[in-house]
Amino acid sequence: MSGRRFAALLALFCVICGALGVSAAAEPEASEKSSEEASAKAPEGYEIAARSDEWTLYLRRDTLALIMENNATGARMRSTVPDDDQTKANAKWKAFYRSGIVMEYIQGTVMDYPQVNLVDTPNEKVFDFFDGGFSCEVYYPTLGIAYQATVTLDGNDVCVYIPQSGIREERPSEYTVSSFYVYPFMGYSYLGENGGYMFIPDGQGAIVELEDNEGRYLSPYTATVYGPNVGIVTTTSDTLLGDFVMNQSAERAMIPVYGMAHADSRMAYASVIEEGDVSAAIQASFNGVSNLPFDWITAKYTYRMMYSQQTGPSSGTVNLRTQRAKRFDIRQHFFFLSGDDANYAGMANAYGKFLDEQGVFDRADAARAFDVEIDFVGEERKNGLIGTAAVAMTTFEQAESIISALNADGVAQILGVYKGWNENGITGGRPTVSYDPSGALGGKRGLSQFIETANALNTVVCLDTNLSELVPDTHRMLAYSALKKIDTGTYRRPLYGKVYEGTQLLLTPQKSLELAASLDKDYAANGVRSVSLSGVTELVTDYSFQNTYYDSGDSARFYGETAELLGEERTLALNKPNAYLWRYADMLVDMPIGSSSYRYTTREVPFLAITLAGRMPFYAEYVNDQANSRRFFLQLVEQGARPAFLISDEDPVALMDTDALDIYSSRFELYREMIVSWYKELFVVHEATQGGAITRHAREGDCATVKYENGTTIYINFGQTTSYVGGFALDALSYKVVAANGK
Amino acid sequence: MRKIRIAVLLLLLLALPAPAAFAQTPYLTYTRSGDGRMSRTQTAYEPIRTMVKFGGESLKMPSDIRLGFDGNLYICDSGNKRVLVVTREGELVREIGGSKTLKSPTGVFVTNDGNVYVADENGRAVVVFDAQGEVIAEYGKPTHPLFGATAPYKPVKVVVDRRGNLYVNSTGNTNGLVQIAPGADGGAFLGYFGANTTKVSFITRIRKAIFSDEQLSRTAGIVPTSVVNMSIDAKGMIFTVSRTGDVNMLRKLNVAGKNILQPDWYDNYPAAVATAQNGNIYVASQNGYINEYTSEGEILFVFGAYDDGQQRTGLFKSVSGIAVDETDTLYVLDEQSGAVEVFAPTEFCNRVHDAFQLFNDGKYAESKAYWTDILRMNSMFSHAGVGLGEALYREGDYAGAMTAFRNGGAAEGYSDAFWEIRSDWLHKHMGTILIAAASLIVCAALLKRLNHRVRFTRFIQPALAAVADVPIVRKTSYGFTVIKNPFDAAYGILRERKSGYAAAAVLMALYYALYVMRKYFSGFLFKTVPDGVYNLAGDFAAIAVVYLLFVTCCYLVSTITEGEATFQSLCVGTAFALIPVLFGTAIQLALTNVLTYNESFFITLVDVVAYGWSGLLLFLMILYLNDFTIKKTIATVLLTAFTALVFAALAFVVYMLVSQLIDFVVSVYGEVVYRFVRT
Repeated sequence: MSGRRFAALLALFCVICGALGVSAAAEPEASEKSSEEASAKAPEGYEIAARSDEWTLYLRRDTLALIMENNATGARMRSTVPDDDQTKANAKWKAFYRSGIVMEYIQGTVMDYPQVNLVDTPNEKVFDFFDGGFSCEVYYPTLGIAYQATVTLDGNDVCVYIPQSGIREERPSEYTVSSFYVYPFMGYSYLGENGGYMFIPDGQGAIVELEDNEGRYLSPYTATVYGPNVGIVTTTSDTLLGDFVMNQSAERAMIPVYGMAHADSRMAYASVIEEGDVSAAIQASFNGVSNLPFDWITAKYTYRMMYSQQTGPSSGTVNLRTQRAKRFDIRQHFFFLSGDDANYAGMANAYGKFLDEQGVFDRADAARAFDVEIDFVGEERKNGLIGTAAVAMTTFEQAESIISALNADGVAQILGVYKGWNENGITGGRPTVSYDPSGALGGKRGLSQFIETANALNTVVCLDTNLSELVPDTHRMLAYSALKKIDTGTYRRPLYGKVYEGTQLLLTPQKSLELAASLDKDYAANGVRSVSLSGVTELVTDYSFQNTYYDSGDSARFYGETAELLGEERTLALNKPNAYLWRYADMLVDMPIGSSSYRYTTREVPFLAITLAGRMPFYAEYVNDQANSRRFFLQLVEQGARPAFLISDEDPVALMDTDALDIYSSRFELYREMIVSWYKELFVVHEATQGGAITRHAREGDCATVKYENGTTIYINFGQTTSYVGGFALDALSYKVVAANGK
Repeated sequence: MRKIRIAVLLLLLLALPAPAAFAQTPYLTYTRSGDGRMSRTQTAYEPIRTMVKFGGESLKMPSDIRLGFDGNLYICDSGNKRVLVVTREGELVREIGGSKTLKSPTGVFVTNDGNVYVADENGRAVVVFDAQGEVIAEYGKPTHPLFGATAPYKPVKVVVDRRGNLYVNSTGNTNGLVQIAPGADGGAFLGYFGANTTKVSFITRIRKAIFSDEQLSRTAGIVPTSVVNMSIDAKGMIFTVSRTGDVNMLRKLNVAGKNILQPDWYDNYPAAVATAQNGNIYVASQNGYINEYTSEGEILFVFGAYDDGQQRTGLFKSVSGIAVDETDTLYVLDEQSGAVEVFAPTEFCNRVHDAFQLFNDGKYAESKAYWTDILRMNSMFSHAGVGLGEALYREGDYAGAMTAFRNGGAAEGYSDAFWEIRSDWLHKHMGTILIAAASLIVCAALLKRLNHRVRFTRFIQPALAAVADVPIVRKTSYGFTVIKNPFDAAYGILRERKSGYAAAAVLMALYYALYVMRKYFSGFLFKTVPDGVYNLAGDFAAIAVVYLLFVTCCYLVSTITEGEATFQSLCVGTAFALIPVLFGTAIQLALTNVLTYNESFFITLVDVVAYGWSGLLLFLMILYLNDFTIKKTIATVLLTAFTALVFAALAFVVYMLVSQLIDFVVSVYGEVVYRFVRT
């Protein structure tokens, strides 16, 4: 073999590895096969359930197991472990991973969730096959419970639908449905032998490589979709050192998406939960956990749960079942990907397209000119001799000067968000109950004038509006509308402040909506045309109100209506919002740049950025808090995120006696130069990419390569030494933008 | 051909393994803010990797970690009875020891020549291995009489100085570290080194005073806290950490074994200590917190958190060791998870370290830019305030320095800068002041003489007299008689009713107002409460309770001891006796805003005079109002104090009883509601 030929083969091999982001092993099933061959060789026990141009879906009737096969390559992905596996798992686990759908139920008020499956639990099935899929009613005679599952194949989309109306409980006082696992072992891997990774929706996104972990990890990744359900979780997870909270909460799963990519077969899927997302949790388990040799990832949908109701302040509990089942259907998509798309970038693009079809981005101005977010620190309160006194950090007049100064420096467009603009300041001003601009900042007239001037300078000024958090010291009457957990205890979170001591509460979603309706009128009367909504955007919870149980779907509905109402007539920025709210937003702010750094995470990936690029303007978390500012800047370049600065005219030392101690760096005088230079540099990058969609993303070593739909490629070196990427030598902590024409 | 080669090379580079993730840290970082409290700051150290496998080898209950001079990490793998030598990236270099040579190793140390010292607790010895892993020496229990025949010798940690002397921490031996000189036959015992001191509590003092020797022998003895872990720096200074529950937790021992460090922050469960090349000290807490101190013992950063099962990089189950390399990268050992967490300093942290380096080298002007940059990143960072203040002070920018010191909470620096500013002001305005003073004196003299002729004061005298004749004014101003003639005053209060409750209330209200102003509005240097903290109700309650309790108790005691004082007279007399304190407080309030620490003596002097004077007046008032002898007055005062204590104890008991009653009622209500109504 000549050197040239060897080099070409090696290059081809590396291209494949690079595209997947993994060091792949040889691919056993990747040989070309004709579609005829594929259909003729259905796996033993399986039959063809549906077929599209690219994919064939096989079904095994007794367990509802599926196999997805790529017509072109013959590569397959299984949803269950074959019967002949030699693992030493116990019978319960074996039944679990050989069943397509697994159900958990509640017996009376026993604090346990037994499982029933399609392997060793007696069941009766009635199938109905149709063009493009099948439907099956499963009935468990011992429990008197039945459900109906419909599986369809449309292109590369396998959709599983379990309607709540199809769930039948014949003896509800004895047995009721608790939860469902829908194809929990779809694309599983045995001791990482496939190579590849699982994608978990942790913050910006992260991948967990499929490899033999040698028992390193003892518990799986579990994330409730849209964040912890505070109405159920009974304990606060703060780790305290004295009065200081030492732990930083993990990032939320903001999107109902997970994925699996196999390197050997160059096949992957992105699973998107269309319905039932607010009642789902995503679980990713790694080989070694529960003594299983498999990596698998799934969603668990919970209809009912048990909880302990305390009967006395210090002792005594009774076990109760939630009053009713949560109201939702399960509709989950598996978008199968192959070849160059079988990676996290492909998954993100599949999710993006799904959202496009859902009309989620119809409202967003994807072509919005590049801008920088400036959040103004307005008023905060400190203790006075009697009561509290205002600390004016940035008056409306000063904010006007800041905008003018930046404009004069060449920052042509700004998104302004005013925090602490109302009476009671940043902390005590939660929730926002009315349009009541702080007198210490300049009052109504000052704010109106500032907004007017800012608008003339291409600056949209959004008023920060928090409609869920409640500081009882400043809103005593609203404390009666505090959110109660399902055990009817009031949700409380300790406040470790100097001014407002005690606890912070949450408003009921009904009250949030009620306040939004009142604010909507107030804002309309005062000409407020832009709002930044926070609090409700990060929360979905079960709760109890007037002794009635409300599920997480109810809270999501109220929060959705809240966002819709406030955004109907005005520009709406949503703070770190859960995905189900994106359809109401014009832009997303405070978006996470990283993940939660779980030990099993191989690395984080810009999944959210790829999903949103070219579809919705999004702004990163504050630059101010970053300890590695250059690296953070490069992350903005990599993700196409817009920068956000928290700015005050006064030195934040003035906040030393307030509760806003987490604002320790914000003085405009010291940030002015940085804002201008970052804006100008990122503006050039944005111009080059035209704010378009990201089509490819790869990360090798310290370098990242990002390709945009207009052909522009950005190479970024995050390392401390010079690196070579894309044929270019990149200095440490630098980047290079290459246009489609190679310039 | 060349192009293809480049392409292949680049593609190979692309296929390299992925680097550590840039993720959010699972913990928050705190530093000292200008008001002396801890406040949040940017991440100082971020976790970059977790090492759990070392060439296929795992750790089992590891208990100590050191960085060798060869750049490798030496991990005392207690559960596997060995020492693992690994690279900083986690590759296995070699194993030392094993079950044949070690029984339960818990401490490790590496000398410059590559010898590895292992403290073997159950082996009752420190075993020394050479660089090849061969045993070359063993230090068993010293046989010297001064060691103590019954003293336990269970080595758990060991460090070695440049002369080869061993400092062995023997569990259960509270005499100090066992210092052993190297040599054959187990070396020579040099003595105990750097023993922790004991704290004698108030209760223990009383017990010692009243118990017999036999009774004392039956009580638990007071023994010093044991050292938990230790390290030695390049200069041979030994650092120890112990669970003392106070700032003596961290000690820096000189050659004489004396502690020369006074930290300003402590951790209750220190597990390990290490020092960096820049002199900074790192104390790892068993609970997962890492504390970084400056070489002077000032807390710089606190970060880390306990892992409650989240499996996030940078959290700990139970820390047992810490090592730091030349780049300030930290290697922290987790005993329970058998992992080494690696933390790298951030840009922010490196900036802080660089600034300190310049500052400690006396390069204040050079450090100014660094401090300014750090303050941009965190305006509340006290060390940066102090550093910038020093730089500005040396530049002669005293106003700027004063602000920086104020923000940094550096009272000494603030005092110096203020002294300079005040001095400048006095220099500039001394002439004007002298002229103004002279003018005032001359004017006063002229007015006095003029008044003799014209008597223009006759126009205001009636008004003044009318004011003085207002009953409340008259009765309150009678208080000055107490200062001039306490006997007459007592007679006037008791017999002639020249004053009353209203006057006492006015004076106490005035005292309360001045007390509040002194407490909350003193100058920065003499203020005793933190900014932004007010408790007017508490202050009022404290003054009112103490005043009324004293008067009531004194009245009760006086009545029993046949004194003549009435309750009213004691109320009034006590309030009048506080007049010197009232004036003293007003003077202090004024002085705190113009004096520096150089003249703080005046503040103390005012205190001594005012309270001494008031105390004397109070004593005289009790004496005269009751018509007691001095001896009887002393007895009354003591009995009053005792009665007050009894009242306080009684109030506490009542409070507890009422609280329990309320709890009981609430519990019964809750039981009824949850058990019968809501279920």
